[in-house]
Amino acid sequence: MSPEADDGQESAQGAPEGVDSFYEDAYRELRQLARARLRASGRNTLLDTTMLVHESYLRLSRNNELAFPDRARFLVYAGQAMRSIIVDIVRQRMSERHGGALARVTLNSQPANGLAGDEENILRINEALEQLAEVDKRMANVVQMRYFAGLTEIEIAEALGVTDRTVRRDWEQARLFLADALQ
Amino acid sequence: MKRNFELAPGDWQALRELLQTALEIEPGNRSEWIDNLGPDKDEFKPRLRALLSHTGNSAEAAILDSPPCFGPEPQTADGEFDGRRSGDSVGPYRLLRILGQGGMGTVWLAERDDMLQRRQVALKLPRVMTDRAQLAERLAREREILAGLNHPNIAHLYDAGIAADGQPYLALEYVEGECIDAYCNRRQLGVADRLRLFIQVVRAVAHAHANLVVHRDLKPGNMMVTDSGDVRLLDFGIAKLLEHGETRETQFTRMTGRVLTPDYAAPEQIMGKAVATAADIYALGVVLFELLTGVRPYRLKRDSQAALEEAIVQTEVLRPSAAATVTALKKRLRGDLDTIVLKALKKEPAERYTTANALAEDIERFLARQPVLAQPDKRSYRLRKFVARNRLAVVAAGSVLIAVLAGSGVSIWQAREARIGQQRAEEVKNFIESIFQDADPFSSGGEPTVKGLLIQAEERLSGRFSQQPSLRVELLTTLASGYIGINEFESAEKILSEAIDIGTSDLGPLDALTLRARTAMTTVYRFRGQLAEMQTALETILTDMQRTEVVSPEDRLLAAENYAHLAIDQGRFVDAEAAALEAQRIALQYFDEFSPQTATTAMLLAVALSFGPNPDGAPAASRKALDLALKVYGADRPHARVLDARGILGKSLGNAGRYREGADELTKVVDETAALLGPDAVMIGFVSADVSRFLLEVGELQGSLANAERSLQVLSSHVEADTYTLAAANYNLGRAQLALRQTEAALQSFRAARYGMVEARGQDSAVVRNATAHIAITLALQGKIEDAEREIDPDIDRFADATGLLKFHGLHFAGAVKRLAGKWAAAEELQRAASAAISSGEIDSRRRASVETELLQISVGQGEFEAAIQRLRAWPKVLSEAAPVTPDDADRLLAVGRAYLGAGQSALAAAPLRAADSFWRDFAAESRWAQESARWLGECERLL
Repeated sequence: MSPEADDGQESAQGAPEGVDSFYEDAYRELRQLARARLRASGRNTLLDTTMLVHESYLRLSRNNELAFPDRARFLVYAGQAMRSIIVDIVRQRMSERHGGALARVTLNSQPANGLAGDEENILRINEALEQLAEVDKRMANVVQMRYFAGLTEIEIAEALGVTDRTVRRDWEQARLFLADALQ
Repeated sequence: MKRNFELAPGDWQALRELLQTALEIEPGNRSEWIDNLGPDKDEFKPRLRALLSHTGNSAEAAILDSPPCFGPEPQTADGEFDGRRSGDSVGPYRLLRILGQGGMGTVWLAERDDMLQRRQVALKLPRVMTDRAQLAERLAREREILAGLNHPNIAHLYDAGIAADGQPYLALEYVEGECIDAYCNRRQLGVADRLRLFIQVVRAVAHAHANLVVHRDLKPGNMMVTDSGDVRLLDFGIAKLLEHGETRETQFTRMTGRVLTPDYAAPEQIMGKAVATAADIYALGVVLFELLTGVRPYRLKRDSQAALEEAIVQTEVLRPSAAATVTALKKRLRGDLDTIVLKALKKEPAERYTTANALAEDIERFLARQPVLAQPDKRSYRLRKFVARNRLAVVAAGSVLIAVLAGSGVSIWQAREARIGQQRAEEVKNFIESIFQDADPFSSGGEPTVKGLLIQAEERLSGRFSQQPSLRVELLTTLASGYIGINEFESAEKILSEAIDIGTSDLGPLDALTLRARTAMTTVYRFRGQLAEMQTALETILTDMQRTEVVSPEDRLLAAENYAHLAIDQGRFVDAEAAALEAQRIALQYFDEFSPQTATTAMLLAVALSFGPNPDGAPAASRKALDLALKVYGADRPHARVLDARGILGKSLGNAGRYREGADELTKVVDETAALLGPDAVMIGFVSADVSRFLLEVGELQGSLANAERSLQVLSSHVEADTYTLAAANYNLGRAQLALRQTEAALQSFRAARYGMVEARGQDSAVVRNATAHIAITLALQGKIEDAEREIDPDIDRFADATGLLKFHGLHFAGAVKRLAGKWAAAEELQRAASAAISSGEIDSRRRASVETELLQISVGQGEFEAAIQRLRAWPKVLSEAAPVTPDDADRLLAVGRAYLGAGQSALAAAPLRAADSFWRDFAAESRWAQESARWLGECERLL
């Protein structure tokens, strides 16, 4: 597990309910990686969630050779975990930034466009996703895995036990439903 | 937001199905389709329309396409930013409160300390890592210039300097307001209001330019609008101030990541060329584009900085009217505003507005409904661009048609005139040009495609020139070549059939034009894999060509080349070699010694040799072909044909067992392809796959893995998941992962590979069984022996039917699974069969070692140590010598050690066991293989 982990910023939320100790490890691992990555980059950041998920999977599978569950289950879980981690980080940052009032003033080289807006969008997508899950669980799952965890269609398909065509359709439609909800 | 998903389950399902159907309809026809839905669907109609409005270029949908984006890290500790807090002093300023923070530093609201001036300023504190003495000098010089910049729309730079602690600072006028884009959107300004606001911006930029100050980093974030609607531009000249000349800039960007955000950067900035006022004009163009349409001027395939930079430098920008999503807005933008924006966004600085004032004036003319000075691109200009952009397709088309269309084929054309007669040449040319005279393909909005042009030509040709058979045959054949170039073989075949019919009846079968059509047809057969038809046709053509003098050298050459291709495809490599030699002779006779034709035939010869019975000769021939290609196309910059030639050389080296050299050449091909066609060119996907295979053969597993990953990544962006190409890429990746014992990852890759192979080749195919064999051995290495056997048992009798590596892998891995299951007799039988499937030479040395290791492990596993020792004596080099570089090597040495140990020769066991143990401790100290090695080494040391 990464030594640079910063437990000072751990949120009270912890891991979602009903996961065993392996998943608690996974959750902690993902969160630490995510925070370390954000801190290292400093500037505004597209969080490379795909890499985080794969990195944490590799690390965990190396450490837990015997008790390691299958990758499909891990990926489903990673979608859920990344979503809660990211939303968590956004909320924390927004409160720290006093309502985002700073973001627009630029130092010359600081990309200043729509920073607060981007973070707000993450929260709005999260909200819309909660509602979507009530009518279409699988579609919400696909979005979670793709948008928040950055997984590929094939990975999602295998994790959910459907074909990648199904995943592609779900995603194409979900994109439209969510875009509509964001407007 | 709540309303969005409040639907009964039945309604949700119905809505999803309607949406799916709509998505499968052409975008242009969707609206009509919705209108025609029955009245029972009325409640869904508005929703469907709203949803479908987000297809294409919707800003909201685009949010979902990029990963979650975060703002800069907020303050690190209580009230402290970069080690400063409010109340601190920096130079003569006292910090009041933080205004903003980013990777480059912080911005504070500050006040002058010395009571001389009580004004509040925005104080910028950049983090600067370079030479401070130089910076001080530069700050002093530039401060004079910038302080002289007095314009109501430019925020003033009051002061710049370096504090006692070495911190540089810039004191700027503090502007309260919001950025121009946010201002426009919040007030929902119309096009005209936006333009008026923008003119203020442009005039301010013009003032700065007149004072020889270039902004270099214009973006909406630097364009503030105050409550009273006045524009204030921030940060003039600061980009330059913080840079330190060109060379330092690169160092600086290397250390900190790119300084400028590329979103508004001009092509010359991206390419690191000299930057002048034209770069600001470009940035203004991007901002204007965004203010008018709400989106950026480029549609990116991927969301990454590299993709954006590539697009800025290479991709033609969208027209604003094409980017806008609302119909009324599209209409408003079409015409003059499109023209104005596109002129500001020209790739070539010299083609943009020469001054900011000229841009402002054109916008003013537009607002006053006067004609603007910028002119839309001429058709010929756009055509040239089109050909430049689609160069590969056009070159592939090999089509005089396209070349003439673009006006770049004049020389080819003139060369041909002499042969086919002045008058007919004129008519052909007139016909082709007429395709464009009436219907301007650009006025319909979309980009023309090569295919679109060909279809247009075909329609025009139908029914014409029936009294001039030679003209008609010539045009038909030219058209067909175009179709062949874009892989539209059905159309090509149809058109060539007609050409051959007319030619044979009206001109005679031996007429040069008929022969040309007949030869072109064999190319169609070739690409469609109709080898029997191809053979019949070519044999007649080659005979007929002997009987007449009047054949164009191109056609003679093509017939010989096609015969060589045919023979290669049929596995007749000796014939292929002869045909390639004949093609080379023709090329040398009719064309220059250093011509594209001779280079091509040399490559063909190399390919024939490399597949032939004696591949050892192929590398030399390939080397010759490469030298020739370098002479013809030049060595100073990459050229597609040179890459081809080098690729052939790399592959022929690998096929001859010279894997390392092969990998080196192919790595060069990858690098040069990336330089020529960009990092995502599909070629890179294929070539990296070969590099991965070759490196695997020499045990360079990390390199193999990296190349396999790259191959998969590139190919996934080009082909669908269920294609064989992607399956093969997954398979390659799996092999590298398996060799590295990344079993879980390998399993994923092999499963993805098998999925694609089943889709592409059907369940019952040798490649699918081969993938299964790999899955089985991976499972077995994970200790899941039962799962492994369940995978492999149904196929176990079929592996012997396969050929080459498929046969070897199947038998070898099935045997390994059986050994791990303790089924010794079956294991041994399978390994003996595998052994018979490989050659004895260097080319298969790694496979030989694998088989012998398996047989050794079988003996050891059964406790037959005498037999094991015999085996060691029979294959001393293969089994005992090489140092372990891969997990398989370590397994081999472990088996050797155990054999000696079992035979009571502990002294001899120590060295191989130590080597295996030390390998595993470095490679994966916690793995069970490491534990096993340690255990046997312990046993050995105890005995000693």
